[in-house]
Amino acid sequence: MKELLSGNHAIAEAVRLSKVQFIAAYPITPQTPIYERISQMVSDGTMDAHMMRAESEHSAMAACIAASMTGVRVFTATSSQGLALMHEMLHFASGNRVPIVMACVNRVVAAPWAFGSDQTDTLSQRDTGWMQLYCEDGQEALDTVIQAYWICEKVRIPAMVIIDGFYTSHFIEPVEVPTEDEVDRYLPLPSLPNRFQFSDPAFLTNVVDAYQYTEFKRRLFEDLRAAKEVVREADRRFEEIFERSYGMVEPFEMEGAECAIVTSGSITSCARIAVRRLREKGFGVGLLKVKLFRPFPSEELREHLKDIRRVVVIDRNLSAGKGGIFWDEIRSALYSMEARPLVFGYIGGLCGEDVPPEMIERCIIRCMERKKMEDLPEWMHGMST
Amino acid sequence: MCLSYEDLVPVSRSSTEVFKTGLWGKKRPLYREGIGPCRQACPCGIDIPSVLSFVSKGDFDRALGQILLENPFPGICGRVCYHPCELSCNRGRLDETVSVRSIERAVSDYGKASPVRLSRTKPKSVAIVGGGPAGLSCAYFLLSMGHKVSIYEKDQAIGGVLRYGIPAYRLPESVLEREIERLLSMGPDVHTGVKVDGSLLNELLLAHDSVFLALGLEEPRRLDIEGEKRDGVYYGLPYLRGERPIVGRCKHAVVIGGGDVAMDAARKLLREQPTAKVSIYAPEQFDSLPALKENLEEAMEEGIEIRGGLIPVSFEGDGRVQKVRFVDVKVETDPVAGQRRFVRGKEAMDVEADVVVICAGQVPRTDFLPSQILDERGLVRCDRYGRTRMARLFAGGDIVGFKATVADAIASGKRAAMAIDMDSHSGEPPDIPLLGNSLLPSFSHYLGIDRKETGKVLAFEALNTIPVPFSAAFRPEKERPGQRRKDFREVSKGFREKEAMEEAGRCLSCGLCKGCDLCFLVCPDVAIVRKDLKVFSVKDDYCKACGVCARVCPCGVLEMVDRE
Amino acid sequence: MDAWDEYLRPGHMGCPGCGLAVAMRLVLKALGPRTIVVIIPSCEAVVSGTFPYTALRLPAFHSAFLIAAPTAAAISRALQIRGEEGITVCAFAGDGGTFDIGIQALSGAAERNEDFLYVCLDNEAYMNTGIQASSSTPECAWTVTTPKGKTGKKKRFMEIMAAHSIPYAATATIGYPDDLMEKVRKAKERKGTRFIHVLTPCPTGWRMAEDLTAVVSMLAVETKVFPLYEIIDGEHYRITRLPKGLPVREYLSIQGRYVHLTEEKIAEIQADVDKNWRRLEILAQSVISPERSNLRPQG
Repeated sequence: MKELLSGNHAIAEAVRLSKVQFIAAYPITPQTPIYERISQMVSDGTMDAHMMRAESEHSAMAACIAASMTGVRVFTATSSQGLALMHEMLHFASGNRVPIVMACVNRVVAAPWAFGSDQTDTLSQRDTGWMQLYCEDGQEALDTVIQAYWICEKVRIPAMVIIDGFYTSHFIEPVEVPTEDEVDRYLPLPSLPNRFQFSDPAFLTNVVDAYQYTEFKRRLFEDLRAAKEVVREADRRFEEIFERSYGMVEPFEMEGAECAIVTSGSITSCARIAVRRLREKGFGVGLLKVKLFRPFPSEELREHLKDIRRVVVIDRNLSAGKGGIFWDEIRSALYSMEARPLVFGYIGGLCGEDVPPEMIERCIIRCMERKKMEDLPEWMHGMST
Repeated sequence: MCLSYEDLVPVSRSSTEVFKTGLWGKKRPLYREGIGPCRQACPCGIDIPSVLSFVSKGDFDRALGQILLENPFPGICGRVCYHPCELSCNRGRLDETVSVRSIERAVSDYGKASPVRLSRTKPKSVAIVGGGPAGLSCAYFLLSMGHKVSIYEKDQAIGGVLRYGIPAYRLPESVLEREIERLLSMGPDVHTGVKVDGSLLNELLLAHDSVFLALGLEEPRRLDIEGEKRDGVYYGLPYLRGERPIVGRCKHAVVIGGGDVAMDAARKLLREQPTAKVSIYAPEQFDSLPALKENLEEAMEEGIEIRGGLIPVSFEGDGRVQKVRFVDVKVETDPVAGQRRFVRGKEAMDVEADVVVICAGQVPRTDFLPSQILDERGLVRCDRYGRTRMARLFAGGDIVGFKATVADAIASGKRAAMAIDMDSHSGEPPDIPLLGNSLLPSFSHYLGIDRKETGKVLAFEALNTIPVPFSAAFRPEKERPGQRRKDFREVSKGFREKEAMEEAGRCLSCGLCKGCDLCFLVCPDVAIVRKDLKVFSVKDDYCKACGVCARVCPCGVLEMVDRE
Repeated sequence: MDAWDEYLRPGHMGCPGCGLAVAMRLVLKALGPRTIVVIIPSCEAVVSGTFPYTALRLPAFHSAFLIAAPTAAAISRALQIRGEEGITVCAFAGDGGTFDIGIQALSGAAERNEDFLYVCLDNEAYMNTGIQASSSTPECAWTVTTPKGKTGKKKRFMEIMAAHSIPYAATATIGYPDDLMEKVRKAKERKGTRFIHVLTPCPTGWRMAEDLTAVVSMLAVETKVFPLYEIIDGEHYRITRLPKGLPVREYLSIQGRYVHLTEEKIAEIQADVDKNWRRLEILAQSVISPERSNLRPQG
């Protein structure tokens, strides 16, 4: 049934439908409506779950890890400073192989202080062993949360479901909300094992030596790689029941294109408009939306970009001292190609700065003329349309 | 496809017990009980911490049984002993010494128990000459071991100084009878009114396997000063025995001497002569009088004036004594021989007196004994076990020159009983186990029925007294002084049961495990195994020899020793 | 449950004389078999064992440094969700993990009255990492980061916990094992956040002979440096053992970490100890009255 929902509320609905049993969270703009909506549902009995009012994000994640190990389905959500504060716990979660799903609402990280969407918060955590799935809108966010539980509980690796702060989190759009029955057909009821057994008591996660550590880490590495298949399977099953699917990367108007623009998150919507317009103007331009960032879909990107001569990556994030992070990872994924395209990077929309389709068009047109790749990205900031 | 977490994260189930951390240490704790300084000091070697342990739990019966292993007369000693146990009590280093003697009295007053009785296939027949504390003690231990005993006593009733030398206000007759009854119920042959002379002694030696001489010293020492033969001059022990009562009313009695006989003579006089003024003049300085402190205090409370540092030089008077001339004196003890010497000064002092009681000690009357067993002072010479130079003839008590106290007399009787039992006619010393540093024989050890202690005597420093709260000692109430001199009622009221229990609870249990389980509970390595109450063993595989257990033990029964 | 059952195994790597190991052993002994244990980085982790070994006969989890409290709270909640009853979740943390870096998480859990038992094993410094000072280190004590003696008094953590109105808080120490175990049993019976502050002497860090562990812990109590008391529902103070009142010097003089103290400093410490004791007496509603606790005057 279609409802008018903000992205945040759509996520909250997904949490309800996924029959999550335990939520620990701490409020931070622009995540708060998720926390509030879930609190309300728990309070009025719409949702049968425990809500822990954690006193910090670090404790919230700590609680999620412990509860998950004790065998319940858990959820949390955060942004920006809160996600940064959780950093230690993110490593701890993936290392403990717990199937936590966390909604991350992108927001810029201080200093300076500001409120606007920016993927630097989640991308800073890309080395923590979590899966990362970037969503374009509220519908996708709702659907991805449900898929994420299926994936995580299969591979025992936690996952972030990521949306743009304010643009996706607060914009209200019509969202198709599945029924409980439909979701129950897709996602099994929570049946995680309680790792604290009295019949054969064990000491979990105690100190290991270098050899053993490497063994466990390698196992995580392999399992993350294998997770790509599970992500594919999850999406396929989802399509069967809900008739929606997203893929790890989504091609848009890529047939016969010689130039591709690569985006993630809500900026993709503006990019779709830019591509349409450019096509109308006769440019052979297509769009590739990257949804799955960890594990990184290198193969899939190479497949979609094998005939492309020029790639333009827009990053709503910055790794100071290098450049845009998607740009970086894409270039490294493409490096092994025999015929490598030119890959240009643009920093655009930091802190939610407006990136209208016109601006995107200009950048692409410019790139059509460029002959050489640079070390450093170009900035959309200050560009006139 | 649901992954089990067991392969994905560290899951540890193997026990750390594979690591034998006992290899870290070179020592191990050894459980070894020891002796309290009280037991070491006690002439009878009573296992005082055990006794107090029973009393603290209210088990007066077992407490009495414990005492009777070493001392037949707790009711007596509990009233009159000079309690060296209390003087050495480690509790005194913390706050106040435990009132052991009063507890002993309470045990005899409230407890019921019988002595150990063994039977012998070939019991010996032993004659005991003298029914005082030494003789009765020897009889008790011999009867306990299953031998036959015949007691020969010159007085009309047995008891010796117990009956005749200690007045009723310190030792009531009913108590004495009760204590003696315990002995009589063991079945000795008692012959009273029999004075043993040389020929009777020979008969006894022929008729019995052994003879134990415990004649005591009753002949008072004379001062050999001018006027000593005047009327009104008496001697302490004959006065106390009732052989020579004071005739007539007396106005001012002067008792010469600083010991317990002097105190008793004065206090008896006080009671018999209600209007008399009684004073004691002792050669020792006031702060070093040999009498027991309690007796001294009680005498003073009763109004007896006591002065020290004075010795009489003459008794003056017209026929009857009327005054005593004193000079000041210093008492010196020969550091080598231990003999006392009086060094008279020049200051003279006259004191009016119509009655004088001389309490200057007792001398032996042993001319009828074979000379080979006597020394130059007329005392019987014997070794530590009471054996004289003559085969099958043993001796003990005051007659052999041991410390002249009831407890020491009892101890000497016990020593001899063990020597007799061991059939030590040969020249070899009998193999009697000895306690502590003062080498006292323990009867319970001899019979092999008591706990195994070593000779280790526990000093205060060996105990952990940190958790012991400070507390004042109970001391028994006494009759009011004004009431006391009216009659011979017992002055000390003794402990009520609850008081005895509480006071016994103050015992630090030196060398005797209390079963507090501290050693077991504070071991960081779970290396001490508790098998039962007060029974522990050490796991050498895991003991790191930290020594925490030994250090925390309140009773000092643990020590860290090298491993073999 | 046999009173003599053990839940800490020997063969662990604690130093000889380790007070913290004694505390863990006694707490778990009092809690019994239906207990889940949370361990964090601290000497307690050393004692509990490295992979694949465990010194704990109970299910346990090696969590992260600051999060003993939310870890235990979440396990407890998850058990409730799953309908598993009668299980005590016991978190162990050191003084660093409680007074310093863990205080926020513990405070949050306590405010929510989460249902778990939290035991602070207080050896008064970061011992596992090499004797660095924490806010539990007493004033004037030597540590490697306060070589001239720490300035700043030890945090009064029991009062902080009482301010959260938790159902049960108590101090305990290993020299009085029966008192400690009794308090653990009492705590076990209550629901909500229960806190036990255990003084666990450390011969290595306190610079003293390794056999002094239990004895110095007794001295801490008898000199009133570390009184034994409970706070019920954040309001009712109850002293569980009346100290003898030995001079604080007897406690300080056997520890090498105080060897540099001057007479003036000792007097200051004595005054401070007396002041804190008086405050506690005023707060205490009932005190166990010993019989005949004071020496009668002589003579």
